[in-house]
Amino acid sequence: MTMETQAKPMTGKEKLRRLIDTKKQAQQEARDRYTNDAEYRAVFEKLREQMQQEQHGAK
Amino acid sequence: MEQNSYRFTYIGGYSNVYAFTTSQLVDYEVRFAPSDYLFEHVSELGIATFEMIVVMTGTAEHTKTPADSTIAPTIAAIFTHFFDTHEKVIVYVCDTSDNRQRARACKFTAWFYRGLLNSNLPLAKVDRQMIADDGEQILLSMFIHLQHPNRLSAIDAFMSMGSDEK
Repeated sequence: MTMETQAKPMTGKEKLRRLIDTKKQAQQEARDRYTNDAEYRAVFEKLREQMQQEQHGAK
Repeated sequence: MEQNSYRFTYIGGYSNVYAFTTSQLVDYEVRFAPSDYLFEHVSELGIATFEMIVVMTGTAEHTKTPADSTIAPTIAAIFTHFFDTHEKVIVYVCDTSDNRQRARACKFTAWFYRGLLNSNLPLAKVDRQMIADDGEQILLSMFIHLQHPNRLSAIDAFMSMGSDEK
């Protein structure tokens, strides 16, 4: 005989904690990725180039 | 893209990541992390929920940057780009890492009214406060499309979250 256990629904406080933790984790992950992920960093480099071109073009 | 906002790029991925750079060359990431657990107790409503998170990627936490009035309309433009169906619900947690969260909440509300209301997106913004397990007061906002099929139920579920706990 197998027993199935139902997942206990999260409480409001648990949901709030998960929201806060997700935010902290995302902030850390984005900063780490910016430092270590060349592909991710290249997106910003391209945006910076475009920004500088637009600034020069506006002058 | 709205007028007077920075160019942005959709990177994608599980967390729906966007990137933009300011004229001061400050780099930002905006992500919308799937958060369906928030409304798991009313899963029959089918509310697609995402947590919006804004990060200055290239700088340390709490680095002071010059005031830049173009950031708010840019975040609003990204929000509008992501908010492409009536069924999405977006939740924002005000930063709690120092004592300035109320000031940030005011700033966030200001950009909402300045930026999003110009986008012709019929949205409701619902604010509430919750007490975290460590006793900290947390400010939360929820955005929902006025034509969301379960708008009132979703707002009720958001406002009553945690109300049955002491």
